[in-house]
Amino acid sequence: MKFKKQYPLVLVVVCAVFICTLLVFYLQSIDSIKKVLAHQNQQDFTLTLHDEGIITDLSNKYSFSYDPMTYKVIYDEKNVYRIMQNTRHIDIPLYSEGVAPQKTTEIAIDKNFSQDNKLALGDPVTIGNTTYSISGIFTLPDAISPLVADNGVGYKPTTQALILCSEEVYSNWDEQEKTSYAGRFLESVSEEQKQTNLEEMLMDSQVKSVMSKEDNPQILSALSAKEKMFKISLISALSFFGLTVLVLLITIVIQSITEKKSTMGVLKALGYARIQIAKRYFLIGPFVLIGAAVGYLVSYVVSPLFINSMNATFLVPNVTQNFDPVQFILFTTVPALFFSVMAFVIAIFSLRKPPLEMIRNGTSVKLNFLVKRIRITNPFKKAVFKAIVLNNILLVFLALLTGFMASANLQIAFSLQAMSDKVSSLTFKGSEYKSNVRFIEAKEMKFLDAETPYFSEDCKIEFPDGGVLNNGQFMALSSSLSRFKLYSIQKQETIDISKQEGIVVNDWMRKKYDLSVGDTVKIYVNNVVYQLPITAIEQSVYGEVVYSNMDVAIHTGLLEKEEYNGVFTKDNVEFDSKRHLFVSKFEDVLYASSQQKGTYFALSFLFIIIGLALSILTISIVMKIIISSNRKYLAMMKAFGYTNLECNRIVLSGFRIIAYIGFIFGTLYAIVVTKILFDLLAKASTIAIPMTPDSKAIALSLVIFAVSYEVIMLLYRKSMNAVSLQEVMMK
Amino acid sequence: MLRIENLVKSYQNGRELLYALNAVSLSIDDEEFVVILGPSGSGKSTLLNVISGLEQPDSGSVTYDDYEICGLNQKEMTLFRRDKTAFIFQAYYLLPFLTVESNIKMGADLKGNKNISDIIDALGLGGLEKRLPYELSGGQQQRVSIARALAKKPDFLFCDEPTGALDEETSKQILTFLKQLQKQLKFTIIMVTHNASIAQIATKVIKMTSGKIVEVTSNAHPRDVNEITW
Ligand SMILES: Nc1ncnc2c1ncn2[C@@H]1O[C@H](COP(=O)(O)OP(=O)(O)O)[C@@H](O)[C@H]1O
Ligand SMILES: [Mg+2]
Repeated sequence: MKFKKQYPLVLVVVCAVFICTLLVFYLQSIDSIKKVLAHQNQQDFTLTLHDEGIITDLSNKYSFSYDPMTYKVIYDEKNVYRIMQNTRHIDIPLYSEGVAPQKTTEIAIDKNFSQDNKLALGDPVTIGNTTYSISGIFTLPDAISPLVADNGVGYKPTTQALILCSEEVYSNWDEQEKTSYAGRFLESVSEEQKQTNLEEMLMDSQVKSVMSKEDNPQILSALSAKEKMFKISLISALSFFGLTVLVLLITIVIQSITEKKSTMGVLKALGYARIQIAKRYFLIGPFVLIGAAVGYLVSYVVSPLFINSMNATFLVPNVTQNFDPVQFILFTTVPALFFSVMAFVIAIFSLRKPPLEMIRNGTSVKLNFLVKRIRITNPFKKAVFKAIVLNNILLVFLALLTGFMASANLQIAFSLQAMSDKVSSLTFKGSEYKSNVRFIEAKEMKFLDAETPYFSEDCKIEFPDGGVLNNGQFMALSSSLSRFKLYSIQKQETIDISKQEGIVVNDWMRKKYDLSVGDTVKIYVNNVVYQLPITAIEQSVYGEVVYSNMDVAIHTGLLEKEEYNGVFTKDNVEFDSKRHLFVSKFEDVLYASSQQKGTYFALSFLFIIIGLALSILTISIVMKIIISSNRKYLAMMKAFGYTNLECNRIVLSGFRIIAYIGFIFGTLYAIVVTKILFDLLAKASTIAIPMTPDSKAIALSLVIFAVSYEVIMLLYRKSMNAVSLQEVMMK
Repeated sequence: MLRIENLVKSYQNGRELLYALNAVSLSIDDEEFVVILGPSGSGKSTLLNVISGLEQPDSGSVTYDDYEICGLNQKEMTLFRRDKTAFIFQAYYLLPFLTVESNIKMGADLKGNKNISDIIDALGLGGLEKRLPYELSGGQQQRVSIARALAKKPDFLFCDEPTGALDEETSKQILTFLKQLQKQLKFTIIMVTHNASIAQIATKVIKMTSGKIVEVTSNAHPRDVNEITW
């Protein structure tokens, strides 16, 4: 058992342990975040009411305690601050440094703002005209991806801050106060009861909206949806990963035992017992141990980077990775033991033949699970290849896996990366207001350049399958002035909103609630229910808006007369909190979705690593086995006058075709898996990403695969050229 | 005409140099049957390897009709072997996963020789074409290996102990085939053996000891295979 011979084994183990450990660390980090949050008296739901006076009655009726979540938003030249009082009982802030602000000169800021602006405890922060000193740095259990601005701009940790301050400081700001409630069911309420209470509250006429923590992207759902997706994608990749690793390792072990077969035969002939000969295969253990230790340590170092980039867009407590000796031992000794025992068993098994037979057959490949007789009448070159192929189903399987791994993983990686881009571009494609602004003017409605005015109202939407969209928005567009266009993917045409006699829902809703044109949905506005048919489906992949036109709104009774509270415009409107309630720009949406890239980058990095590492390892092992089990014959062919290049073509090249066939399978697999993945995501979250095979990603994967394949082939060509004539020389 | 002059080939043996060939000179005419005899370790195989272009000597020259092969690069050497030589090995080295027919094609393909049925018939292998090597006896395997070698129509056939693994009767059969085919196809045989009886059928016998040729005997009237005893 020379180390040199075991290096592929060590590599495979390193790779396997690396991936597994990374996964474990990641899941642990999510767990530890959950654990930390568990002590912060986390909310069960967020509540907004039509009339705030009834909160006490409601809390008695549904058995919950509550905390008003009041805040003020302050805009200064550079930054946006969401100011809150440090008097929370529910969703208690978690201070990573310092303490809650006590004095009127103190505030606490969130972790991301402090990190991005390099602010430490005691540093001054100027908000408006007042300068405060930082008393603490915190994260909030209910603000994992915080909403700071209220003008439609997405979260930017550099210029947006969450601020906690004393009641006095809070009252000094005269910005308009916004209120919602964080609710937490009493300890006595059972889980089932919580669920029914929530459902009842959802339909309670006094409740404007209620959002359970599972549905709230601010709380755990963001993380758990991510976790879910992470698990799905990992399971899809890891199932093959695990299978390949196992096959590879067993192949390597069988191979190294086969190479020693004649020596073992001699030993057996000399009278050594089977166990005596086989027990030295336990020595494989230390090598696996070394490999596993390296893999564990590497991922121990890499995992913080990985987890940080996964969590880059979240305001979550820092996760520190503690060295866990028990886990370390588990990850190293278990594989080591497993493979020593496996090697031992295989050795014992292959020693059961009589010694003479072993000595004679020692050199021939005995991986033939399916030995086929080859009756070929075509030239020798083809015959050799077919023979190698048909005699080594295992090698063929591995060669297929080579292409499969590379293509499946690379493409899943690329689709993950492309995902965030796709989302933003798809959302806006088809709308006439692609690169423009929409805003709601607070004071008076003034139509700019005769763009499209609309009326928008918060609503609950109940779908035929019973699903309720709690934070829906009903938007009635002007029938006469509508330049706003939506695009239908099903019909491949623009939806003319003025011609609709019902509502237009989006593609995410279609997927999530299994909708089709003709279904009737119930829209609850201010406790009145309106029934409207779906007349079209537009292609947006997220968003909780249903569209109709003014005529429909009036006809249904949703509105008494034509009235508007917002406008879509192509003018470049700057947000001004005195005039506008809300301005959202395309760039902001793009920015927000680009923020998600960290997550997908980290994930796709993992996939690329898994894919390439496995692919390269697999093909290396295939080549190594072919060469090492055919050395004598290669030398003989060379003696007869076959050139290196010919030998290479005859013996190795055929696997290229197989690998590329594997690549095709992998591509199909990737398409199916990403489709399933994105469908699941559509159900589990508020976004539906359409899965269309991406020819660029396929081409790029193909190039990467081809290059790595050829490089490996080149290396093995060298090792094959090095098969010297000596091996067949007449001695 | 094969001319060998002053061949030296040494191996590092621990600290000292071991001369496997020590100034060996020799000439062999076309279509001769040369047998190289000598005790184990005397350098017979080394000589055969150097002559056949499998190995480069330290110094000296090997010329085939004035074509010098010592000093050729690897590629030129390969092309030379492809063109002129063929080999028969004691261990046959038939590709175990290929049929008799495909194994013979391995030789034939090298020279673009399409017709292999003649050589199959000549070696009495008719009917065995579709068998795999493990389904053949040792003698049959060696016949396949001869067919493979001759299918490429070599000018020189190198054999290292071709009968070393066979019993007397089978060995004689093999040698008979070789002599017969030599007459028919006209090539030179250079054979290493430790079996002195075989020398009787050769046209030239070379005896070696410690890397040197100690005796060269030409035999104007070689015997027939069935006339010799083991
Ligand atoms: N590759 C090698 N490395 C070292 N020594 C070698 C090598 N090949 C042959 N020899 C030595 O050269 C001598 C001649 O070997 P060889 O030609 O095989 O003899 P023979 O075939 O007559 O038995 C022997 O002493 C052998 O040990
Ligand atoms: Mg020898």
